[in-house]
Amino acid sequence: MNRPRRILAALPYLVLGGYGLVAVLGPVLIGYNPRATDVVSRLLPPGSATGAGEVAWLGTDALGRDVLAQIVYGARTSVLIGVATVLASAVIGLTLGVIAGYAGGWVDAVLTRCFDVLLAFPGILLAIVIAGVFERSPVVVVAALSVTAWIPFARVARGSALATRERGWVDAARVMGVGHVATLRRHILPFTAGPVVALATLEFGLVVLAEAGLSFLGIGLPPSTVSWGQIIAGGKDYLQIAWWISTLPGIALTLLVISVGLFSDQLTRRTKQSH
Amino acid sequence: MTARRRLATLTALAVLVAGCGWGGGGTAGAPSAGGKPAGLTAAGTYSVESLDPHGPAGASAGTQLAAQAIFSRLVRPGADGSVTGDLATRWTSGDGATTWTFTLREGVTFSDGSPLTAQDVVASFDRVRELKGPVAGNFPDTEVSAPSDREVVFTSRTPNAAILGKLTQFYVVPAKAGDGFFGAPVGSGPFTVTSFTPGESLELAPNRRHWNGAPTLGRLTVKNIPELSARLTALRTGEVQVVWGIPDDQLPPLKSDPSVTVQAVPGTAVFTMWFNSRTPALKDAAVRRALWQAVDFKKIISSLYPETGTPADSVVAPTVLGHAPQPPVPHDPDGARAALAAAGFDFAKPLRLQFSGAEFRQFVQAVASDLDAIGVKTDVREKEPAVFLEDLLALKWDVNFQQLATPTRDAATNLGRLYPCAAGRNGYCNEDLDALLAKAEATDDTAERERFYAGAIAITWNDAVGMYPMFVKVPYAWRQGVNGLVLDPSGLPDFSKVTVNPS
Amino acid sequence: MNGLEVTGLRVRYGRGRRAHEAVRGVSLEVGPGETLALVGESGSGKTSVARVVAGLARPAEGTVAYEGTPLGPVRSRPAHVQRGIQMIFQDPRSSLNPRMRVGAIVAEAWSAHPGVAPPGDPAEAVAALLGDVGLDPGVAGRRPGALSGGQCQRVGIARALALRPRLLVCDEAVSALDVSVQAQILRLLIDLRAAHGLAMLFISHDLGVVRQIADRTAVMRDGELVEQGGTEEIFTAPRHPYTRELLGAALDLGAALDLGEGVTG
Repeated sequence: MNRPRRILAALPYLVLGGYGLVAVLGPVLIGYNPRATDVVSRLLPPGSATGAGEVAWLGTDALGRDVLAQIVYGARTSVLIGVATVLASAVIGLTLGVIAGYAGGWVDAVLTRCFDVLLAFPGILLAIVIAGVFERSPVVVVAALSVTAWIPFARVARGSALATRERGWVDAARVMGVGHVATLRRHILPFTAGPVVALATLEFGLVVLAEAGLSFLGIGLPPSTVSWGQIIAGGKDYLQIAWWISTLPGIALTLLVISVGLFSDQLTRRTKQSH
Repeated sequence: MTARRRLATLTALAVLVAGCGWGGGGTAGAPSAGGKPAGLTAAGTYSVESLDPHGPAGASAGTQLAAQAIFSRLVRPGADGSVTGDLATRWTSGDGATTWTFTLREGVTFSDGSPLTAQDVVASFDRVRELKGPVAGNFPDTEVSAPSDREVVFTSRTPNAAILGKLTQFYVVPAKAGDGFFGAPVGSGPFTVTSFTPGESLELAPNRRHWNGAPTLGRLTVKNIPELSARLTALRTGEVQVVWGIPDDQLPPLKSDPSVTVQAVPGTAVFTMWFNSRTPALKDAAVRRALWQAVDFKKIISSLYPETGTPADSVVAPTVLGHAPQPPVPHDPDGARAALAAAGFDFAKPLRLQFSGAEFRQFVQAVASDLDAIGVKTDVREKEPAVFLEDLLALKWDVNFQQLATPTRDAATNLGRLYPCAAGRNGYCNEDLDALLAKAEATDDTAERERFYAGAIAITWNDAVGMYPMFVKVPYAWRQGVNGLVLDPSGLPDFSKVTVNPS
Repeated sequence: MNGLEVTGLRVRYGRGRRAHEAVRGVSLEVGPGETLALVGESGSGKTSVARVVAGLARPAEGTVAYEGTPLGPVRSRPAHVQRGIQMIFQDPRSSLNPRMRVGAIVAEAWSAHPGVAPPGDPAEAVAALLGDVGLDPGVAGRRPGALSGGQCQRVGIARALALRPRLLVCDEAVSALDVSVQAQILRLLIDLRAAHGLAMLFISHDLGVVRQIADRTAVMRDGELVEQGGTEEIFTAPRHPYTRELLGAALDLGAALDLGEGVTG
């Protein structure tokens, strides 16, 4: 690989690492209280000095709150919701998928049918319905997004399990009388990890996007939680006079999702090579 | 071959362009080729949830706007703020303002051709009282009778001096109105209903049988475009021609658009933030007053509403009969914190602060921020209009934000209707206030009434039944070519005399 | 007879019209301590017989019994029978979980059958077993990927021995290995058989290998047993024409192999 290409390949890692750092360290360095407004300093363009004597590097929103701080806190929200949703989906999907693939027969037939039926539901609509019915909270958002997000995991895990089940070491374990649970855990599950991890990164990007969508619609997280979707929604009435409110978190979101996509591509390629 | 093909392409293009032109003309309201009168599409601040002016949504701005187009009233507010006749041509009071006799206009019919008689008035009034909606609160202990087809008499045990103003919210519907009537109602107002989708759009056509002549508009559509940016875009593109209730932030760019006229008129509305006096934490007037002091309304108003807001000095707007100025409540967060601590206020328990309408979100959040600054937690809840209304009546809130208008321009409407113990609308109950409000109702001497209302307002203000931070101007914006729009201080513009020039 | 008894065994794959009968009525016996070789071309059904005996496949018809106990699928077998019959696989590498270390692979047998787990330190027991199959104890810490094919097969044998079986099903156990390694593994199996008193069902297509290890030989063709008898008898006086054909082919192949060895050597 030549040098520019190598730099290009490293880009997603750099961006993702940056987001991770911001999500973890940002809140320590920058204080932000979503309830505290400063109406005198509202709609200040990037780089202005606020009434409190600080510099709003990325401007302020319609209530005088610092956009940079909101993006930083929003990054944490997005990463947390994304990780929690992907974890929950992966655990559910992996369990059901591996069971389907390992058991085969009618168990597999029933479960696979269920996956197919659920896959036919438009995920984001289902999430909107669920998030809309219950009171706004992070748990509801994770649940609403996980409801359909686990299905790809289940399908990938099932495929992997189906292939792994035929491998020699599984037969060997059977002959030795190793139990189902131990066989699944020791001899099947580790071999689904590669494709599942690649899928998890891809899903992470989608989940972050979906969460922003829910928050944009005002049905995701409670208003006291800072999230990119809410910032973007709050700024859309000001696109003409204060473009920075919606645009900057929008760029942050786009950059994250694209980087995750590239990262996922690289992972997929690598797992394919190793097989 | 190629020539023919080119011809075919050209024809297709022409049809396409014609199609576009048609669609554009239809939505923009320009006169169509047939020479039919132009239509108008308006998008206000409120959604029309129901067409029933007697029901639970009867006092909401959306329903009032629809009702004044579809139905008639005995009397209506005139351009100068006084009361003029609508269905009634004249009225007299007697027995110390306990009986009011109205003579109905001759020859008024509903849009289906059936005559409007005194029986319809009586039946409508009975319906108002039966449904116990917000309008019914205006008429406690009032009976109505029809001595003849063209005469109705309102009788109450106690004097009812403000009845004229209150009757501007009482709409007459046919006596036979039953279940399902308000899906496609028949009225005697300037317009008739073509189609209605609650919360979305109301399509009206001129009522050819209106006693004062049919409106010149070929069609009037009242659309709900809840998204502000979408609403203003619709105005710029000409999808709608009239918009009102525009936030301050959007006025400067709108003003710079040469095809749009912007004008703000002093309104009757007051930003009203009731405290629920039934909430144990808010029972004490000292607590309510301290919370009021905690908020720097002056700063919030000058920042958020530089064009349409003025700090309020009373419970009702200066455009309303009964307005009496009160001493301002100074911003004093330290004093507020101390007063709350002294009153044993529970800082740990958040106050449920409800409101409806995205345009109020920033104001409410700024208030919540100031409360937060002295350690008072709030649980801000933005609700759908229907849910908001239901919770409002059920007192499922601790602080309620409302932009409370007085379409009757008489303090009786909001003070007399909302503040007596019996109304139970904000959990506040004070016998002295009840007595003053009753006395104000009991006389038809305007000076007397103003004196009683001044007393009532002083109690309400000093006991901080709510916070009354701001008087509201109503900004209207319309596109070139729209004439004859009657701007209304309550945000209920009258479209019956509007004409639209092709632009 | 107290060993393995297979009676009227039929094995079918697939269903309906696409069904294929791989084994069509095979009966055979393996006495205690005896080694029976099952030979035949690939596709003759010998591996299917092995898998039924090991409990990895279900017979369509017929019975399999061991020491008088009828045998079903491996998980339904009583514990002592389950561990009593172990299997050595054709592909030594894929029969070992690549993510596990050799020590864990060998010791896993004891987690399924705690009854035969060694009393002391399992690591020492693993080292002893690895020593028995001719491996350095240090191999215990390595993963299969770091071992040669012959080493992998030794690990597979150690794993089977860990359960102290009485019957070893060897399914083409040496055919995937280099010729020189083949001989070593074969030697190992013969030694272990003597040391542990093992009976063997030895599946192979390689007659040369069979002649070295089997007491008796059974010849399979198209799912049927065409001939069985003492190994010497089969090799010196084959009765069935197919057996003769098979022996002829093996001689040609052997000549070719000798030639090949001559070239490389």
